[in-house]
Amino acid sequence: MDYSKNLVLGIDLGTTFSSVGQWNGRAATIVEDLKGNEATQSVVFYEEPHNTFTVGDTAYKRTLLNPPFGVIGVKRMMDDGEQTMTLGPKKTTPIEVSAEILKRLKSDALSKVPGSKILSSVVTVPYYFKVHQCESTRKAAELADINCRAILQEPIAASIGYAWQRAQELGATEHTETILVFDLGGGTFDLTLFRLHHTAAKIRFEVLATGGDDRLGGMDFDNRIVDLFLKRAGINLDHLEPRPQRIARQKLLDQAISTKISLTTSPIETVTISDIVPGQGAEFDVTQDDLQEILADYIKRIEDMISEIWSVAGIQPHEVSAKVDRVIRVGGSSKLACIRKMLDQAIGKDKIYSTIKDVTAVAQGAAIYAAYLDDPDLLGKEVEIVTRTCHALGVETSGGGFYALIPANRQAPCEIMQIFRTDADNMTSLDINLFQGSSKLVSDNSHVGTIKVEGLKPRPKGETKVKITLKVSPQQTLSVIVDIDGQRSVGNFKIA
Amino acid sequence: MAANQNRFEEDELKDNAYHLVAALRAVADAHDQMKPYAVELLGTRTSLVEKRFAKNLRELSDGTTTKTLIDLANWIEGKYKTGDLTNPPENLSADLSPISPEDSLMIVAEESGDSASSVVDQVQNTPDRPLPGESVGHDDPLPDASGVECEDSPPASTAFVECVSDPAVLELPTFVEDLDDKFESTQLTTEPAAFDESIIAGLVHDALGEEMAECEKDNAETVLHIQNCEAVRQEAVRFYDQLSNSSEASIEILSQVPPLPEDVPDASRVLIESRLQSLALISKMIKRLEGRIVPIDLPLSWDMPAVRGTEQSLLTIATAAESAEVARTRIKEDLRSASLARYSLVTLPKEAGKKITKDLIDFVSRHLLPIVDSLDDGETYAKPLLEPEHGTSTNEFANIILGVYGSVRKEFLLALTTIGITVTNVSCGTLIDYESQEPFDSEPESTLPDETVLSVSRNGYQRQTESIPQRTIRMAQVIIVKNPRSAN
Repeated sequence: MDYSKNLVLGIDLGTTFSSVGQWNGRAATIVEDLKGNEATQSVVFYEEPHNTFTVGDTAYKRTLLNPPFGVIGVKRMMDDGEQTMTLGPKKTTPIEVSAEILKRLKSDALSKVPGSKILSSVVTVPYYFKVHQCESTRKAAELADINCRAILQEPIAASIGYAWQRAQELGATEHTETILVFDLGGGTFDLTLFRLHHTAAKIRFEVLATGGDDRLGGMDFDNRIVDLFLKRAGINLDHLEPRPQRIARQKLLDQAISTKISLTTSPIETVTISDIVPGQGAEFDVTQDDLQEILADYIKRIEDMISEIWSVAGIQPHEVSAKVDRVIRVGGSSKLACIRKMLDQAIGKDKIYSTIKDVTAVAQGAAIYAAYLDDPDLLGKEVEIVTRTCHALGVETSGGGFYALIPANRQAPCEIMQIFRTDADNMTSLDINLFQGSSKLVSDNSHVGTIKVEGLKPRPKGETKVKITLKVSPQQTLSVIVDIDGQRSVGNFKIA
Repeated sequence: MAANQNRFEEDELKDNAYHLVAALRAVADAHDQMKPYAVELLGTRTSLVEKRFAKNLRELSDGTTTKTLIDLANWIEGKYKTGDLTNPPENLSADLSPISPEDSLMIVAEESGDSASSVVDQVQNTPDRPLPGESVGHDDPLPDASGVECEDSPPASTAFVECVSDPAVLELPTFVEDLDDKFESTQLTTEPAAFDESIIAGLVHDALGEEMAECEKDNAETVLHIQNCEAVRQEAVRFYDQLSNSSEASIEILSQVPPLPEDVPDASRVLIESRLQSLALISKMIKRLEGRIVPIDLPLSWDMPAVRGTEQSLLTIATAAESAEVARTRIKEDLRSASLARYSLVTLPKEAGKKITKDLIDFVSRHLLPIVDSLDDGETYAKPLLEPEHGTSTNEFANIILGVYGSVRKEFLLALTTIGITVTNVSCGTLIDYESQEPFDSEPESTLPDETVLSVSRNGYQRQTESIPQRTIRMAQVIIVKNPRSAN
């Protein structure tokens, strides 16, 4: 197979940046855009005069100037992928906007080799994405015409890259290890605990627990560092006009990011900035301990989320070091010394696996998975992914309530049965509405599907018993069986 | 009585000899049937056979065993007819010893349990030896080379059972089961035999044919990456050398800034002092530059050892495999591993080159451009000191300061040009070019269309060399026109 002309792609469709991995027959590489960048900004701008869309950093810049014509972070809008949104005069949907990003990535990949075509692709989504968000992503992939073979969760994609490397090292040796994927990106934080089981014939990913915070990321850290600089420089920007204030903030932010990077390896960094505002410069030292101090509350939040992961996975605090073998860091901010220190303390020293390129790990892992789907003999082993329910699954009850039958973080396959009663007299038909989410009201949760049961015997309220069984398969398919008076109705729904 | 006794012994001897001849011919026949198996075993599946059987198999395959058995049978037959059974030929007995019927069966069983069973079935399904007094038919007489037929002779197949009157033969079913067990264990535990060299050579040759072609391709690619990497390295070295010179020159220039004249008016003094502070800070930034240079680490060797290693490993694998099929599978796996290992070697210089470039651009963006930006800002903030209202003394000093800013800036731009980095040219009054410029802010200007560049807030930089097409290192931040929409 000539993989240079038959492209097998893994696409990390990120909130702020997206990147493309490509299988070249022996490894997954990153497709650079036409400017040589490994990632493209996930920003779309509507060009009114030409009725076209611009994607990437140009779109970002144009959006800053003309916010109504652009959209930043469309991924956050995939909760309702079909909703109408406007970019200037143009009516569109989050699905169509996501498709524009995918088309741009596709175009970048195809432009490398004239005459090439996309054989297959895998697109990644966050682990916490609900079924309809995954479905919206799938529809965007269809619109972009990229032969999407699967929607894969980001932490699994990141660990596939690791598993691929380990499979080369281990060969036929049987080995089990527990891995924490620690993904601290620009705006989101995800944790996933896996058990990775290698045998001569199979690589098995078993998700043990997941957690995270989609409102925590490196940008929060940068802003704190800027505040520290202002304090150290003894400068207050509040009295400045907007433009000089923006200029000063931009200067400080650039320096903050640079300092953050320097402090990942150096214990101390001297910061020198001239003319933060005209005539006022400063020089001061910043240490790793300083960062530790100013980010203490964020670090504490992260620690708490890690503790929650252990709890869900049934790992006692004193067992963590013995039971968790590796930490795979993803995202630039995960390299911070204070984060490393926290991980060392929480999990044990020398657990961090550094061979994986953190920024592109997801796209590369997705490309390997796409290649595996294309050729199951690729790894010389079968890949089995055993996941957990990411959200509670249940049914709508009286008054729009949500009754959770299967809780979040339950390992698939799982099954549970519950008997309900009708809440109205003489019902002859019934809609069983299935939802996923954590709210007590279905209106705040995500609709999975509906099973309609008809031909019920009219009875007084509460006398008809409705037996509902939910089953979740390892492939994240929800099977629903409704038994009423021996009449059985069955439905199957994808939940990831 | 003695005569009868002798007669009885003689008859028994003849009887035994007769049985023996029948058995030998039956065994010879069985061996003849086994010949194709022996040929196959020797040809393709040698390692299935334990070394101790190798000689037997060779004799079986070339017919020596069958011929020896028939010769012996003929010899015995001739002898028993004459009653002289005392001196069997030494060469025959010697030759026969290595291959017993049990061993023959074992060989058959090792190749195929069915074949062994069929032999046993043949034996077990033969009619029982006639009881004393029972009539004996002659349907299956022992062929007699001399034309003599023994009336008392039992059928040949029965004779086989009787002749090989070993307890093991009487327990043939158990024996076969044992053989099957041995066969199983042989498969698992037998030390790999000397693999047929022609088969090994064939397997390895076929595998290496494709492998070597891929290796050559990889080697060519590696050479290209090494050349590119070396070019990038030399470029980086030149840049860092020039940067070192530029830094030294800049520090020298900065050290020559004269003290603030006393006759500068107080109103200007604060502004000039802020410029001096700016120059002092810039001087400190420059002094730290060298310490921030990322060392250029290149792998010591760019060898492609996987090429040689593969050939050796293929030979090892082929020799150790239980069969040609297994050898092929393992060779395929080994080639895959070798290909991946080699790929990491191919990518080594490629990644090294990319890292040098990335470190270089990162260094420029994070540590050098902030200095140049500071010089730009300093120059901008110093220019008002040229206004006549500040007085001649201030104006002259401002000129010196502007000269310092300009000279130092020139030094660093010179260093940047060694790696093809230049300031992005921005034409005010034209529409913004989003490929190299980004809007930092906007202002209404009704005489100009939206998105017209009014001024540059921060310089942008781009890179272009003979081998690299133009790429933006940093966008120019510009102020552009944005009129209220109602105005349009």
